[in-house]
Amino acid sequence: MIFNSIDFAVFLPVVFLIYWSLAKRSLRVQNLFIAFASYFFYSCWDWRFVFLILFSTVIDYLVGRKLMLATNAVTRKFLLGASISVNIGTLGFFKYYDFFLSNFVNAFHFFGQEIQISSIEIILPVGISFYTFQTLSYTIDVYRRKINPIQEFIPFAAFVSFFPQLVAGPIERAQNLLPQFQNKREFSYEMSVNGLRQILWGLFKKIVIADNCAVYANEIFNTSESLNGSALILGAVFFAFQIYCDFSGYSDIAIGLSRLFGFNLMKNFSFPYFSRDIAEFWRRWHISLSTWFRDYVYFPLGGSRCGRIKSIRNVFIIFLLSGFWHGPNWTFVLWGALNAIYFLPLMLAGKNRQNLDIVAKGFKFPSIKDTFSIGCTFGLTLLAWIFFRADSIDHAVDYIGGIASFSVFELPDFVGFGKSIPVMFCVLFFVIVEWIGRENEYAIEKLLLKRRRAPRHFFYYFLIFLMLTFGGDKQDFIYFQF
Amino acid sequence: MILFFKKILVFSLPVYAYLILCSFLMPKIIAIWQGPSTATQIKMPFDTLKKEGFEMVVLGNSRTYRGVNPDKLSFNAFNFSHDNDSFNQIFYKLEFIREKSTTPKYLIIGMDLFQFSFIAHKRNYAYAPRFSAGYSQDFGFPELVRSLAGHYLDQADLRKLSACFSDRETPFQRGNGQYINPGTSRKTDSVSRDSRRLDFQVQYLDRLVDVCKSEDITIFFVTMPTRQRELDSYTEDQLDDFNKFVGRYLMREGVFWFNYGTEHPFSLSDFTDITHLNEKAADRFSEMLDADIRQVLEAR
Repeated sequence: MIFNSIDFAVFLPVVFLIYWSLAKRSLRVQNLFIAFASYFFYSCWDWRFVFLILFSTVIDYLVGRKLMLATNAVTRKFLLGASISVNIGTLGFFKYYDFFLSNFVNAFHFFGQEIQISSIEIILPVGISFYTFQTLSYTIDVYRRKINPIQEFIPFAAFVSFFPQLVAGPIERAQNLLPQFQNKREFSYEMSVNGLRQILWGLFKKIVIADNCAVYANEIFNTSESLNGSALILGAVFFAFQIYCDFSGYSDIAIGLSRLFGFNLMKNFSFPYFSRDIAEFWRRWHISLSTWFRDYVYFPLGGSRCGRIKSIRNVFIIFLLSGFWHGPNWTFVLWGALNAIYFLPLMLAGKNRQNLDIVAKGFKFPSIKDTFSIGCTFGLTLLAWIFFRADSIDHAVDYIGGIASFSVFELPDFVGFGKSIPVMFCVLFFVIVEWIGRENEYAIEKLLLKRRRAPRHFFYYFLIFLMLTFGGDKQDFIYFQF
Repeated sequence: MILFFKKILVFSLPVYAYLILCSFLMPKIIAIWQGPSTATQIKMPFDTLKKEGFEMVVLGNSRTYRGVNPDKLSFNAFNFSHDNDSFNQIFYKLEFIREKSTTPKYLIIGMDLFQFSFIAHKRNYAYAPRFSAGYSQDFGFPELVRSLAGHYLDQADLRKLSACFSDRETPFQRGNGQYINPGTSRKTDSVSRDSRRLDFQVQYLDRLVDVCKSEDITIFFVTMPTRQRELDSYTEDQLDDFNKFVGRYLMREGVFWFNYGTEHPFSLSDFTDITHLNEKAADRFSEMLDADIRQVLEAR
């Protein structure tokens, strides 16, 4: 049941109505209902994996309770280790078993030894990369005594399975979201309207921008060997907007939906393509994942305060892990490594925290220097995205080789070029709106709010019109595969 | 909260009005330049078959829909194919003919490797009301609602109006059921085919063959002429496996297979795209097919 489907259009109002009608009853009943609705939502993907998420939830709930009672350091470490083993082990099995197996076999083959091991075609449970990290953050924070373990199981189950962010994030922290399940929620008109506005923007990003860019990105990447350099660059740009709008669109919908139910989720994207350097990009891209790795891997390893060699090691570890988190493919690992290479010079020069404010804050246009910086940063991320999208490392290398030729000065020669021009205009429109709204939570949060209702509503109707008219071939949300 | 719902309702009224307007106006406007809509294309053969029976009926996906001209067959024939039809649709179409029309003596059934790999649902809004309950049960009520809703949402896609500005020839549907969609193929045309064989479709094919045996209907499986770039979607093993699979059915009496997939006299200029024959090539193909069918029948 994806967000931009008719099934969800039926599911949401039903759940919304029942949820708020239960608000007058006890908080417990309300939490029980949202947990039930979330498990139902998840079961629509594959009912068998409901037991998996339930198992993960029960383990971490029990570990949390035990951690509260345990005073012995060894026992506490053992409990934390158990939680990490179960979560990472489950994730590792479902996501990486076949990858490690095939690489194991290939390694033997490389040395001239043939071994036969049957692979299992394992189905990847939707959302496993997200909810395992979310529950892990709970047990780690309880271990660190940053939060008290929750006593009741139902709010915890609701926290883990909360349907708006269950299958593709944001990866919430227990410190932020769990207390919201423990506190009474009142219906707020302003919060709900804000939520609807963010859902609208998220749907626009997904349906108009991401799904349309996907058509041409796929065409170009699938036929890259016969295309000229300019087509290949355009393919990379299409993919850059596909993945950004797909993923951030999902996050916007998730955050907007949460607002409808009285919850505030963390921001997951903060206009990353307006970043002036790679460090800023990583402060603005998939914030929930990058801060997770920062807080639970990078800082425990010592961060950047443990000598130069270890700092470099730590940077590579988190970027490689981040790449690997996306999937069992060396292209993702290489994407992570490339980003680490981009990041290191800034860190070593002490310049990774120089662009902390919003670009051109208070100004309509960026300065020439900022424009140049934004362009360079975007170019570097484009290069990395090629590895992310390519089928293999060879494919990525050939793709980049195709760009590095004089054919970049020709007109793009892929078949759909003419049809892609309206999509480019849509992307341009999107970039302009994002630029105008870059100082807000999301682009259209305060757009035309100070004006009368008519221009504002006209803009919303325009977005809906674009969705109905320019909706691309329906594509799965990219991050479902992770 | 009541205020919230009131405001949503008021806000969404223009959207619903727009969708309703599009669902009425768009098919009429587009038909002027793009030929009959899908709903109209599907309706016509059902109406025709209720009024008259045919000796030979052509069933299959778009390749037979566009590639077989019943007027070039020496039988009293009708083309009941449609885009994206697979064996479940074909089975229920035969059931419709048996119940509402005259059982034919001969069936030409398109047989493609990829045809077993999907369960088409986009036209359920048109098929479900016309087929028996068994068809709808395969999909379930939610899927039928989705199909209907998707159909109406699709009407709001104003990009279809771009056909009004195109200088391409307008597609049309003949009274014999054949659909003509002009176009020019290119060397670089490509398609990616799925070679999976879903049990669901195999079961429907088995049921179809069984019904034909019990009704004494002769089946001519036909694999339409296929361009090399489409054949490249398959490996040699997949093609061999497919040949063996179809070969099982040939052991039954009254089942024949004309495989023009790999060996045929058609060139690039005979296709409108990667997979469909153009009007003239369809005529030539139909005459060729008719000659081959006659030869087989005379030899029996």
